[in-house]
Amino acid sequence: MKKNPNGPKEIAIYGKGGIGKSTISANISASLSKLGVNVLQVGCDPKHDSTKLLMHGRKIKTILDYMREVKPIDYDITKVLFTGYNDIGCVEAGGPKPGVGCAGRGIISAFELLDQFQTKQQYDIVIYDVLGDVVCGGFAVPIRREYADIIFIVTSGEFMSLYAANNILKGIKNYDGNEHRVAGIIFNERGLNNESARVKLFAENVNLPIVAQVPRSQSFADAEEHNVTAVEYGDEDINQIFAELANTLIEGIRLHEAMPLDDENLENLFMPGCSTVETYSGMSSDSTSPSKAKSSDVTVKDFPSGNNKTGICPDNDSTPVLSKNLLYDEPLHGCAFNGSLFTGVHLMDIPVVAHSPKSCIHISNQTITSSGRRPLFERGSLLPAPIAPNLVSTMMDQSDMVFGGMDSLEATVKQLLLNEPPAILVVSSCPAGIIGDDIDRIKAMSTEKTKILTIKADGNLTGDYLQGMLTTYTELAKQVIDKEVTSEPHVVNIIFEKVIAKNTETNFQTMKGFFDKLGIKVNCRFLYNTSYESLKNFKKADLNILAYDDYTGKILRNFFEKNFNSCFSDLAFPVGYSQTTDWLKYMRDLVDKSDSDSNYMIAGNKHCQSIPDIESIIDASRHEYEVRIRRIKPILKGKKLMIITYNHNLDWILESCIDCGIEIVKIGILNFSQDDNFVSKISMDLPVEVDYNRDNRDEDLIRYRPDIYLTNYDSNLDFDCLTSTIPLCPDVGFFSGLKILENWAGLINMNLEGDWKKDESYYDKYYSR
Amino acid sequence: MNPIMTNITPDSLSGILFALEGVDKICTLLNGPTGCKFYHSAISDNQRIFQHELDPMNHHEDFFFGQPRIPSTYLDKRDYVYGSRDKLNMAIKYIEANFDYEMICIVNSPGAALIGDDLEGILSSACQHTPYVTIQTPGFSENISTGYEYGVISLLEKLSGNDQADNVSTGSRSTKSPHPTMTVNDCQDGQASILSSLNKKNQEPVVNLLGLPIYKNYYDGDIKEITRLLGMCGIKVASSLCSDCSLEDIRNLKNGALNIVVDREYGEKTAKWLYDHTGVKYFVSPCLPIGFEETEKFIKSICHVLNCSDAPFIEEAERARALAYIQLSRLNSLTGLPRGVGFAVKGSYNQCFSYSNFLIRYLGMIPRAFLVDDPEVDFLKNDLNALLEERHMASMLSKDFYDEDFHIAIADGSTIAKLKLLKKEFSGIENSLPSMGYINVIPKTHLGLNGALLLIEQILNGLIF
Repeated sequence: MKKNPNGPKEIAIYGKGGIGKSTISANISASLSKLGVNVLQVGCDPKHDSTKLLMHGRKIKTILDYMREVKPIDYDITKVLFTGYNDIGCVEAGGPKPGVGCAGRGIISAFELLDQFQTKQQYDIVIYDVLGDVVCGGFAVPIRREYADIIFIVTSGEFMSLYAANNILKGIKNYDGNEHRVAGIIFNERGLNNESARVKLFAENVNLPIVAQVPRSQSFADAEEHNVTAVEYGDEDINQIFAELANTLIEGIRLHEAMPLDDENLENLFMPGCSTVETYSGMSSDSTSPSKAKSSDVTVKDFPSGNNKTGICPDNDSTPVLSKNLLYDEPLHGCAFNGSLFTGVHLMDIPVVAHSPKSCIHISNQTITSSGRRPLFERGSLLPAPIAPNLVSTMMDQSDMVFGGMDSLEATVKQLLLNEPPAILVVSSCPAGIIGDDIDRIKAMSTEKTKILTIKADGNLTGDYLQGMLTTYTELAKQVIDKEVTSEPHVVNIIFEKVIAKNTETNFQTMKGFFDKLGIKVNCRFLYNTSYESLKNFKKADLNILAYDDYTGKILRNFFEKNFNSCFSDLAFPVGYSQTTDWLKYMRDLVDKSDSDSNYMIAGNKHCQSIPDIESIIDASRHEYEVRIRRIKPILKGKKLMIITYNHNLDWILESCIDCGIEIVKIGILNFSQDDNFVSKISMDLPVEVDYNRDNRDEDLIRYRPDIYLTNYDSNLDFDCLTSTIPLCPDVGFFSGLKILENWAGLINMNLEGDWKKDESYYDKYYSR
Repeated sequence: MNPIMTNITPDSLSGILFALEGVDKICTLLNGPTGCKFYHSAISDNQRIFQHELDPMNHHEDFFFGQPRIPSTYLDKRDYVYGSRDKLNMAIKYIEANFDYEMICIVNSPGAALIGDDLEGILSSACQHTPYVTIQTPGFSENISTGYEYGVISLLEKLSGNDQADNVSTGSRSTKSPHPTMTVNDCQDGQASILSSLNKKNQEPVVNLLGLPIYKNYYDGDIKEITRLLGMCGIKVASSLCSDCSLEDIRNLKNGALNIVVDREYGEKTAKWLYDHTGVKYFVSPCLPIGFEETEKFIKSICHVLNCSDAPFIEEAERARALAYIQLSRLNSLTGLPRGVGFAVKGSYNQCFSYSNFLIRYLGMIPRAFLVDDPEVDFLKNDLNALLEERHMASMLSKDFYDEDFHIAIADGSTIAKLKLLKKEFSGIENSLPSMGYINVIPKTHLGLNGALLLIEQILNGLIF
């Protein structure tokens, strides 16, 4: 059989615990492999013995044990993917000890790893051997539509086994509605009285065929004793049964709708002491019984492609986009859910649905709106997205936690669709992720006017705040941007303006002043106070400019270059004198070149308006910069400066310090959840210590005795020096660093300290807790 | 107004955390991700200031993440699969080694609650020498007041040795015996009546306040004002339960003459629990003591119950009314205001009723719209309806808060900001968190006499004339 280029056919085998699923799964895998099919068997039981016989008794490392020990950046799929009998791929999901944690959540994590490495794409068939009943959303993952194309249910004639089989059908029904994915029942005999009749009766009542009947045979025990499958062991009768099933799978098997019985009917049929099997045989015509198999039952042939498999970016680059916390396996700062909402609300004309309890959206709403309230209070600035984010919550309650929250989500989305927004963005929280709610299913509710977008943040299950931002940036780009849109001349996108910085809008206005002078129009601000339409038309811009060239900025640049063939400016928004000078010259050259070369960035028609003399702007700024430096240099020259900061780029202020003759005695760069790469273009040696240990601060202050201590938070130190704060997101433009130095000069010159600092003891005396 | 801009309020998780954070020397350890921690820690430190500076370097990275309050176990994906035992053990070990807390309260986040870790079992071996309280289920989308009282009662049960709290879901408690009805029956017609006399064995007029969580924007000013007014009448306020109190204060609750429930949403269940377990009777204010008349009823009723003289308070009330009168009279003579000025209120039914009652009856203002938070908590719903119906204003309850025009909006800072975004011309008066950003150096209140004066001051300065 030839490997399907669209991916493997995926088969889930469900049934009550202890019914023999692993044995049957392994024998099906063995038979398929004997027919030349490339098979991967995935054990989804925490006791991780599904592949034991295929591995000839060897217990293999489980994915979850591996993920517990290894950092995400070091993941290597070969450490958990093993080759067993006849080259069958063997994987065990594993799980926590009984009674601890959430095994269902573990299965979800294991599947994410397989998706990340596109492991399944290497096989023709994937067989999932799944624990017992459908106990929670996590265990139901294999029967979600993006995974299993075909489902078998293994049962014997015992009531609890049939009960479990019926529950599994309910789980499938919950996912499928009227879809057809159930291939039938595999009857694993236990040798009970009337067992065949009971299973047959069940099969008739749920309208499923018995696709195989596996006898109770000593061969299974003998084979197990030899740590092999019965198929490999060589029992002819058993071989025949599994060979027929394997052949049916290859030739195409008829699939059926899941039509479970309700509990009352099931008990009436099978509870001991109620009646005999024969008595029930005529009840299939009862109006409460499911109807007979419909003519619309479908047959799968030659393993056509299933539904679109999930993945990072199936048709493009599949490299996972990881935040720094995830990359280095650090404690997570904030949650992906919050980062996702914070980013998503900047698509201002679409509602963002938080599939969450009220606490999650309350926290996010407070975080988002706090950045809007203060500027309004201070100076009357009205920033729409932070003041009035378009947030809605499904308000998941206890019932949603137990029975799943998809109904609540559907009801919320249905209500929002009445307003016909261009899109609705759904983001999932921790509880939604833990119970296994599959929010991607909600995409089916998209209408002609409204596209449903989803971000499976799953609270912090997928990572920290920054990871949520990254996922939202990349997922929204993939789900919304129209790749067919053609570029227009002298149009740019702005990438990664910081949604939480209070100077984002003023910085943009400064940059817009420069763009206007250069004759450049801004298309999409990705993603800040922008619209669905502008994101959709992202490709209208021929050049993209990063607002910040930090960790996230670099990731986004890489993402857009790989996935959208986007062109980027080499220079991000400029901060400080040199950067601003270089940026203006660079952009002028780009525009000049585009006017003479239609294939160049910002390509298009001849530039229709004349570019002002950028050199004169630069000259005027240089003159002003030099005058102002001369003014403060006598005060600051020879002063010793120590910097302890989260900022990873300091050139904008260091250059002014050097120009003023300040002696830089120490630069300590603190570990920061949002950046990891200290950079400097300053040619002189700087006393930089990356990953600075904060505990050394007081000792270093005594050692270096700085006149000026520059840090992100102004602490009342027991040390006599001028303490000054450095903004995490400095202002763009020529004079960012200079302004801070002018402040130092003023404070030193006027000897301003503030006597209030002497009153600390009173606070401690009267109010300290 | 964009119809999808919904009313998002805190829920039971916040209620529990803020209840515990109101007590000195308690460490509230959140067994959950940092995403659930940062906001609550910031609010706690902002309401009850714990640090001189906001320098994250002053606090340990792991567990505290640069903040002084509410350390967390920073659960991640692996912990959800394997359980939180290891992180909890590490956190407890660190906290016991580095701090001198009198109690550790472990609260599961919503996600942590789902994985079903045995907190009691873990803590019984992890906590070497510090008493602890565990809250297994923080509730999912239940209202903040339910969570608040659940947190308070969990703590009380632990301190009383009746530690049955852990497996009780929020909102499911029931009282154990019939309770004396100690409420003022009808605050609208001034017929304050206490139906039961107090236990006379305790002759000291020492009382405790209930129902003033630190999440209330002016909680400290509220406590100061009620303490001041009762103090005039010779009644000493020993503590305000779970708002700036100590564990010793809580242990001493049994010695109080009366528990006074200022906001019944946040204190009535607790008062009943205390009556069941300590025998201390309680007085429930039928509405918030906002405005002169309700404040007078509130103080007089308590004085009556405790057999104290209210004469000094009466004089203070008259002086306050006089201060209000002179400003109102001068403005009114010139402009006719504030009579007829439209206002809107956002808040609980209790807040909507209490503010409206004062603005309508005393100032002659007209309600234009309401936005009710957590409407399922409907103690004062009928009273609000009745108040509006008697003035032919009942339709105002169904008006769209964001569509109506008014000159005064009493709401939280976030709602005021949204109204500003809509270019509404009005003056906002904050009655709840979050704040727009005003930093209160002097404690303020909307309760009591000073509260009535502040409200009048804010309204007069918010008018156009």
